[in-house]
Amino acid sequence: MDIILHKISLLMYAFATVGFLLYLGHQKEFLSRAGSWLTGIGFVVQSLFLVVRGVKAGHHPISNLFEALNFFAWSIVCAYFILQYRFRIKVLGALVLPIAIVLMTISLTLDTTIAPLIPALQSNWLGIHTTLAFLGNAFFVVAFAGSVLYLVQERQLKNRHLGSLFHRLPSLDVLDRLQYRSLTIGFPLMTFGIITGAIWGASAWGSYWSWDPKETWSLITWFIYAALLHARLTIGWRGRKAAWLSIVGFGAILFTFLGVNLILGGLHSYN
Amino acid sequence: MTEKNDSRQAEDAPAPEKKEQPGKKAGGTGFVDALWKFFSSVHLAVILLLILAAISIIGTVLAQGDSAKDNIQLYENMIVKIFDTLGVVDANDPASLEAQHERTHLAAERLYRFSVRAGFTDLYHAWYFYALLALFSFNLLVCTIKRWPFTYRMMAKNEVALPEKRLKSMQTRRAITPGGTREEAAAMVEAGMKKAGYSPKRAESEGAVSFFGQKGAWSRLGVYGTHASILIIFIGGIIGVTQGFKGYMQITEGTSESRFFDRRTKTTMILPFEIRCDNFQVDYYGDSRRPKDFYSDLVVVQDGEEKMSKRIEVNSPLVWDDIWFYQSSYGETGRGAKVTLRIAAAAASSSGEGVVKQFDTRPMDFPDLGVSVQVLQVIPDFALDENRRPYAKSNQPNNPAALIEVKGADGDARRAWLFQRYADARTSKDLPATVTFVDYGGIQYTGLQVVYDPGVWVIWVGCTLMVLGLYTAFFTSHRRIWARVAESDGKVTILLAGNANKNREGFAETFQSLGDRMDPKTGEKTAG
Repeated sequence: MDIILHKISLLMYAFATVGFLLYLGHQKEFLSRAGSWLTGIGFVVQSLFLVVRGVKAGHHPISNLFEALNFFAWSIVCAYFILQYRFRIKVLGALVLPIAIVLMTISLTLDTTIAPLIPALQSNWLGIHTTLAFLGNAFFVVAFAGSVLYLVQERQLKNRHLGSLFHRLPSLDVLDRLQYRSLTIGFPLMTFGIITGAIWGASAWGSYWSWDPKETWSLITWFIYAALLHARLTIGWRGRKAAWLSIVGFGAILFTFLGVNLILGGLHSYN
Repeated sequence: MTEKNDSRQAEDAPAPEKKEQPGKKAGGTGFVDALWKFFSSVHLAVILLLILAAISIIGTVLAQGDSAKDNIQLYENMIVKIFDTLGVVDANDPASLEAQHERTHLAAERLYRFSVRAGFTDLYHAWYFYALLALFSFNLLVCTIKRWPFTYRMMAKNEVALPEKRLKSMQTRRAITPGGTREEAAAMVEAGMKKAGYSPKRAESEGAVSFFGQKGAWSRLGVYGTHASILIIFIGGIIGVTQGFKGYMQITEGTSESRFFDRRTKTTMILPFEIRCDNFQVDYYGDSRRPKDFYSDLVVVQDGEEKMSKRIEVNSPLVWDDIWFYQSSYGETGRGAKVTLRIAAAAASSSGEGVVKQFDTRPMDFPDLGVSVQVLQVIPDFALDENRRPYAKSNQPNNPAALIEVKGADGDARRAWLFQRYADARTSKDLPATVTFVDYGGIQYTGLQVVYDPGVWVIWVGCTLMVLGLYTAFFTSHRRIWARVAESDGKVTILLAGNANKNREGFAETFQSLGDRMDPKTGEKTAG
C-alpha cells in the first residue's frame, strides 16, 4: 500500500512538471497554477507515504537507500514550497521537481522492503539528525536550481537574444536573491545536522568525529557553501561566479548522498 | 583587486574588503603590513576553504588506516581498472590478468608506499592538513578582529541626527506631511517608533527634530559567535588528541579485564580498575541473523570493590572515572559452552524474571522467585540410546538440551531436561518455576571502545555557540530607523528612512506599517 502512495506522488510530480514546462511554452497562468496544485497534492501523498512507512517500521523512514532517496525528494519539495512562499517563481518547479522525480525513480529500482534497524541506528537522534541534514541539503538543491536558471537567463541577456524564454524566466536579481536565501536557510540547517550527528556519534560510538566518508563529504559540502557564503557576503561575488560555485556544491551533495553509498560505501559504511 | 563594493550589497555587508586606511599602522614594517594584509583577506579564507574541501576528498577515496594489504589490494583494483580502460589488460580475461599480475601488483605496492610517505593513508592527521587548519584558524581570527571596529560602529555609534541628504539616499524611505505643528509631528513620530519597539533617541539640530531607533543590534554578533565557535571546536579537538586516548578492549564473559589497546600509541595500556563482564547477549530480529540488539552487563571493580554496574548497548555507554566504555563489537571465544535460561515465577500471582547464564555448574539463587537453579549437564546434540539414556549425537548444536535442577523454597529439588528447539517437550512439568531455554552457544567476548576525551565538553560548548551564532547571523536582523521632522514654509514634513542588514522584505513591511500609522492619508485605515 505504501508503494502505491509512492507511485501516486511520483505521478503527481510528473504531471506538475509537465504543467510547469507547458507554462514555459505557452505562458498560460492556469498551467503554472495547475502545476503548483499537483505538486501540493503530490507532496501531501508523499508525506502520507513517509508516515505510513514510519508507522509500519516503527522508526523514522530512513533505514535504507530506498527510504533515504524518498525522504530526500520530500525534503527538496518541502524546501521548494518554503522558498516559493516568498519568491513565487513560476518556472522553478520545472527544474526542482525533475530532481525529486529522478531520485524517486532511482529508488524504485532498489529494495523497498522495510528493514529493521541495526542497533547503532536505534536512537532518537536518527530522526532529528537526518531531518536537519536532509532539509539543509534540500535548500542547497533549490539554490542549485536557481543558479541554473540564472545562467540560462544570463546567457540570453548576453547573446542579446531575448528569446521566448527570456520573458518567462524571472529577473537575474530575483534568481540571485533566491540563491542567497536558499543558502542562508540551508547552511545553518546543514550545520545543525552535522552537529546533531556529532552528538549522536559521541553517544553511540564514543567519537564525535570519525572521518567516515559520509561525514567527510558533508564537511566538504560545508566547506564549499561556507566559501560561497563568504564570497557573496564579504567579497561581493554575485551572479555567475556564485551560480557556478553553487553548482559545484550541488555536485558535492550528490556525491555525499549517492557516491558515498554506492561507491565508497563498501569500504566504510555505517552498517 | 578587493574593491568590489556593489551597491546592492552596501547595506548588507558594509565591510567588503576595504583598502587599508591611510595612517593606520604607522611604524609597522612593510613585512608586517604585508603579512597582516595577507591574513586579513577573506579571499584567503575562501581559497583555504576550497583547498580543505579538495584535500579532504583524497582521504575519502583512499582507505584511511586500513591494513597495508587491504590498501595495496584497493590500489591494484584501481590500476587494473585503469589498465582495462587503456586496453593493456582485459579485466574479464583471467589469463590476461595473470600475465600482468606482477606489473599491477608492483605498481600497487609502489603507489601504496608513495601514499604512505605523502600521508594519504592518514590524511586527516598529516602535518600539512594540520598546517592548513592552523592557517585557516589564524586567517579566521585576523579577519574577525579586523571586522570588529566596523561592527561596533554599526551597533553603538549611530548618529541620531543624520543630514537630510543621507536619509534621502537610503533605499527604504518615506516622506509624510502630517499637518499640525512640528512638535505634534515629533511627538507622533516618537510614540510611533516606541510602539514599534524602536525606543528612539531624540536630537535637535538645524531647526529639525531627529530620531534614531534600532532593533536587534546584537544580530551583528552572530558572525562573531560562529567564528569563535569554530576556534573553540578546534581547541576541543586539540585537547582530545593531545590529552585523551581512544582504545579497544575485549572481555570474555565471566571474566575481568583492565588492559586495552591504545589506537594512537599502538600499545597496551592498563586502567586503574577492572571491568567485569557478567553477561553478553545478542537478540535477533525474529528468526533472522540480523542483530536487533547486543548488550553487555558490566561491573566496575576497583580495589576489590564493585563500584558500579550497567548494561551497556550501542547507544548507551558506561562512564567511570571520566572514561567511557562503548559497546562496539562481539564474537565467539571458541572456548566452553554456555546456556541461557529465563526463569519466571510458576504461579501467576507472583511475578519476576531472572536469567541464568551458565558457564559452570554452580547453583544460582533467585531470592525474588524463591528458587535456585543449577545446570547439571549440557548436551549440544541431544539423543537417546537404546536404553533411553541421553547422549550427544555430535558436537554440533543441532538439538541443545540442558538438565537442570530447580530447588523451591521448601528445599524440594526437581530435575528436568530442557530443549532449546522444543520448548514444550519438558520432561518434568512440575518445576517450582517456569524455566525457558533461551540460548546455547560458545562463551562470547564483548568488544568495547574505551574513550577518554577531556576535550569533548569544549566541543559541545563550541557546538552550542555555533548553533546560537548561526541562528543569530542568518535568522535575525539589525534594523535601524531614522526620522527627521522639519518645518519649511510653514509646512511640516516627516522624513522616515531606515535599513536592515538582512531580511529586507520583512523590514520593508514593518517600515510601511510604521509610516502608514503616521501618514494621515493612510492613518485611518490602519488605526482600526
